[in-house]
Amino acid sequence: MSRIWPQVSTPERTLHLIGDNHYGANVPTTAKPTTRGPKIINDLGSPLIPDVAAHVFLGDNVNDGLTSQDADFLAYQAQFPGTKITALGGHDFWNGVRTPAAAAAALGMSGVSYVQDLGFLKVAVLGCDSTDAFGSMILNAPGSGGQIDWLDDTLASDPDTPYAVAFHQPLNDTVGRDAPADQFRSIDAGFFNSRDADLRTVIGARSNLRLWLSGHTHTPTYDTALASVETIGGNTIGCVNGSSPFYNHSTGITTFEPIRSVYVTYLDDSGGERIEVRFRDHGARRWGEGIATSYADLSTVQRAVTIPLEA
Amino acid sequence: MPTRTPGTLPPGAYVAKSSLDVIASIEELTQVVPFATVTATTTAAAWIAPFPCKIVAASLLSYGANIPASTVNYWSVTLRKLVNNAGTVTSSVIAVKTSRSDTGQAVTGKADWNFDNVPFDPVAQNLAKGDVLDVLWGTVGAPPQWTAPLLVFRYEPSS
Repeated sequence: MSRIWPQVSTPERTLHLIGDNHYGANVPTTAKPTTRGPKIINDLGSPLIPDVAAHVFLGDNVNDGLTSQDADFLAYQAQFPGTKITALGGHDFWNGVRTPAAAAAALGMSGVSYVQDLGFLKVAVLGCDSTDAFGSMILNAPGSGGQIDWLDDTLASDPDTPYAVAFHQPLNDTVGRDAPADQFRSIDAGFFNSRDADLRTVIGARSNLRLWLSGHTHTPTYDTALASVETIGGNTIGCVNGSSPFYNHSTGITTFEPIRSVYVTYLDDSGGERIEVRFRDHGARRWGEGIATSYADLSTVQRAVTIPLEA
Repeated sequence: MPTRTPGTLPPGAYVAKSSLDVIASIEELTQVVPFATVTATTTAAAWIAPFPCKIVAASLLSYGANIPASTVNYWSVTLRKLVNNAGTVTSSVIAVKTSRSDTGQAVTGKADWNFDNVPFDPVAQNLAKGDVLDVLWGTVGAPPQWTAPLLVFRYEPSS
């Protein structure tokens, strides 16, 4: 019996992206987050899965913003080894049951927005300024002292350090841009952020912003734009979506959907600045299906992709 | 969880790969067990652990017609660990999957019916040398038979 080396080439520069967990969702047993989460933990115990720089939880950590759901999520999250980074999503204060700040505090975050220094990269976790009766993530306009200003100030004050932004919602027209309608797509209303033009202004002006990490769309890992390179203003960045271990299609919760997550490695050496992206199916315990080159032929999936961060 | 030192490859060693040039991700050992056709509630021994190990994944196949999902006529298939302690056999459930239409999955003939999304008991999945893995096919109502079922499971050596 032969075995291969782990496919994550540089784990100390790798972020493990875990999209929308939705702890507390009342769904059939085999689809429940409380069933699927332990499969991830069990898989991470495999001797061939490397420890990584951080596990990044990209929002919608719980389903209805309830304290009881927080407890289940936090108990699950605590089982991930090493550094954990948590971002907020709309479901963390769903239907306005609590403020974003209250959700952040309940989930152990130091604020709705904060910076995590990983040495090779800083992660700017971006939250929102307010919510409404539906649990929307509302960002205030630039110049109002809100989260967009916080992001711009953070990037401006540390211009020589590469940053990734972890924000629940993707930039418009990135992930899922060519996807069929049975997926949540960033081109659809409600599935990209509410101030895309303002955020793009910040991105274009701050060349130390290198990665935009998102959740929200539950995108299956074979999406042709799950990871992409985008030139915004004068800045070229990588946009990577963390998929979701919960379910992946807008048509509803499929009981036996793969339990997906994404590994992204940020490299900047003699080989150039680039990201490597890999895909894990924690249920099947394998490096799973990845980005397809064409929706017309999903057999073209790439199980590891390297994307240069160059215009 | 112990800290591991993985076998890292040099940065840049990976380039975009197509499905044609990716090698299999073989991360555990694999065992294949054929069974006789199952028509009613049945237990059958599958394996004796040759050394301490952890059962981490399993798939079944029915080499016959489909078994439709149903809430009335369905199978409940249980992977169990049997421990014989001086003649006293105790069983513990590793994982259960059904063909119920609401919480389980239909069995497509001659296709993978796996336990990928089913929780494995973190204690029971660990076998000591000499522990037995068995399969319990339990019926509710009168579901169609499992035809010459094949079990493929994966395991990791453990200490």
